Amino acid sequence: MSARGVLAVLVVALLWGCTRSEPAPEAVTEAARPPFGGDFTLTNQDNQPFRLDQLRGRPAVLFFGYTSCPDMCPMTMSRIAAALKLVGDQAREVTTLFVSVDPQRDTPAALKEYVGSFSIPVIGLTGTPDEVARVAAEYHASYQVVPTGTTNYLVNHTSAIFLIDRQGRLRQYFRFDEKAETLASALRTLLSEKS
Amino acid sequence: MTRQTACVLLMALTGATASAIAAQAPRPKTGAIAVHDAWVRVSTARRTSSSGYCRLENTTDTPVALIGIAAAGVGSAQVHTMVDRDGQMSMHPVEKLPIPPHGAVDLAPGGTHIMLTDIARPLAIGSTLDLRFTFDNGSTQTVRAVIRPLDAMSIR
Repeated sequence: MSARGVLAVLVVALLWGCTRSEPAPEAVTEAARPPFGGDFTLTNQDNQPFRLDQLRGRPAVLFFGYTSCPDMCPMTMSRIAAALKLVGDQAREVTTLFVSVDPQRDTPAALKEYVGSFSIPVIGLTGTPDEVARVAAEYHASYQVVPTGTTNYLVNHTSAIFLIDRQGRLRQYFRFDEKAETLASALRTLLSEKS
Repeated sequence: MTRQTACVLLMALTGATASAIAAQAPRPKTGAIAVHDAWVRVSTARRTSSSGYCRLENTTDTPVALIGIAAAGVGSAQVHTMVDRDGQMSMHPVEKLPIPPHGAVDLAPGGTHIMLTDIARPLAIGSTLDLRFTFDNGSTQTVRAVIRPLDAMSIR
């Protein structure tokens, strides 16, 4: 691109930034919550049963992924960590859940190593293929194994970040690359609600 | 200062800066491809795939495309782009990544990136990995990528 072209792009970008008003994050109202989601039982990274209702009274952030996911899952985790940092001290009440859609490779031991690599506490969850499929269906999440000809196969998967309220109800979901500020704002709303 | 005034000032300043840079830095007669800020996410003995990122800059007068990446001890290194189908993300190999004349392409988290698979030895945080980039004009560039934590979002 020529210098003139670069300048034109810059000016357009600046004009866009200056004239566009940021949409306010949508209010996370109980009435507007998605008609899916719900309780489930899976196995955590310590090979212990984990039930979502154990968290009752505290909000949670949940996303589906797999430990060999090269780009999107680490980025999603990074966004969640950034949002929790913005929330501040109260973020300690929020539990982050990583549900593996690759139960074949993601054993509890693999999850333990993986979740330990992040700067925030994360509960890694796995199960039998049927158990994982049931939870994914409950949250309207989908996934498919993509063979690559090696043991390092890929898994296409739903990338949403799900927010769960103190009552264990799915309240809102976002794109994996949602701005940390927007996620933080929604989390503050959930935290402001009574247990 | 109002937001509008600040924006007008910002645009004026940016315009001036861009003009100044253009005046001070005439185009080189013979350009080259440069690879900047290369970094790769940590891998382990168990998790043998990872992702890499960098900025590819083309200072030549002609379009150039990245056609291959290789690294010692890495089974496969490919440029991948992400496609969103109704919220389900899938990755697709990019055989030829064009870099426009006097332009740059960023390989960044959440977008087009380098997918590394079958990494023979774990890439430890703080160590480095040499990546060899091959372009369709016959040139190659080898750059030393820094290994960063799993949740890093940039080289720093």
